[in-house]
Amino acid sequence: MGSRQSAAGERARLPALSRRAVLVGTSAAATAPQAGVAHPLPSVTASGTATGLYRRWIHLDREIERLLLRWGDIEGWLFETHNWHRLSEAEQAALPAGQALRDLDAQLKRLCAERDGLLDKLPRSGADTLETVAARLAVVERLLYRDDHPEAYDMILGSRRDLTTLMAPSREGP
Amino acid sequence: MGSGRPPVAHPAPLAAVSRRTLLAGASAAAAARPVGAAPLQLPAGSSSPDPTKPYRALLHLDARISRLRRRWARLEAYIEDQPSQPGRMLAGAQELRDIDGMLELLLEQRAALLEALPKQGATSLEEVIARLAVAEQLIWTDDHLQAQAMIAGSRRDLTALLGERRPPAR
Repeated sequence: MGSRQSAAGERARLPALSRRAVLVGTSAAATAPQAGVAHPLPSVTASGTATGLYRRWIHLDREIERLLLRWGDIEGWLFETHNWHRLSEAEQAALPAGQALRDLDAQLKRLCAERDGLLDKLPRSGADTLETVAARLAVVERLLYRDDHPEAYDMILGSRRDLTTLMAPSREGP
Repeated sequence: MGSGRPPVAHPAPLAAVSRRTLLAGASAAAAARPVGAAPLQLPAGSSSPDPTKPYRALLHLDARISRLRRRWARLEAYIEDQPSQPGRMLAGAQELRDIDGMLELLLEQRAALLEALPKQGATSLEEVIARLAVAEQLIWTDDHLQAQAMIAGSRRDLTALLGERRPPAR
């Protein structure tokens, strides 16, 4: 993603995506299972470091973005095929895809709460490796809207890439 | 700034510094650059190519622009407090126009420099640090509190890591 979706968290601005995913078997039930997330999230304790926290936040953010896109996909399909906006709540609930939207809502609510809570805990400084700084800058990339700050965004992106490049020689062992 | 905001778009005679500035030796004279002069006065450094130089130049420009804007605001407030002193008002108005012209020039330089700044391709931590300092400056604090704090922290962390990497000075 070039920059974070400015509509993240706002369902009204979700893009309506293709019906194909819905029609060819990505039923809402399959795409939005009751509890789980389609891709397992990395554990914070897996790395146990600040870098792990940054990576987990990024993974949460990406997962939220993916679910938002799916939400828009399903909703767009419902609008086109079922006059979704004219259905009563009971009629909406009777549709499997309607249930899927509610499942997605619940998932998104949980993930957004975790992501926003984790953001407050991310260390702002104190990194002792270039890798950690690079991971932090990757978070910054997703926090910024490129359209708002194109130069700053490109500088952050470039700096993270440069750090990765600069890290490479130091990783070479004897 | 109540009645206006610098800069206005008119080709003010940039080299013509106000009497007040000349008499008082104020900061506007120090900040002003005559038309056609070298656009930037950078902090003194070595003659070897320094990849951090353009980033420092932008920060330097930003500091000058901020200083002039503060001066503009103070001067405007001063003029508004002197309604019964037409002479002072005229002199102040002239200086406001001078500052407008300076700001216009500096903002043009800043825009050109910002566009030309390398966004990637740094070969040293020093350059990354300098670039992050600019990025930090470009982001409004109120809009992106966390992001700016992370950029500032990253810059400080890299500076500390750079110090660890350097051999001790003899």
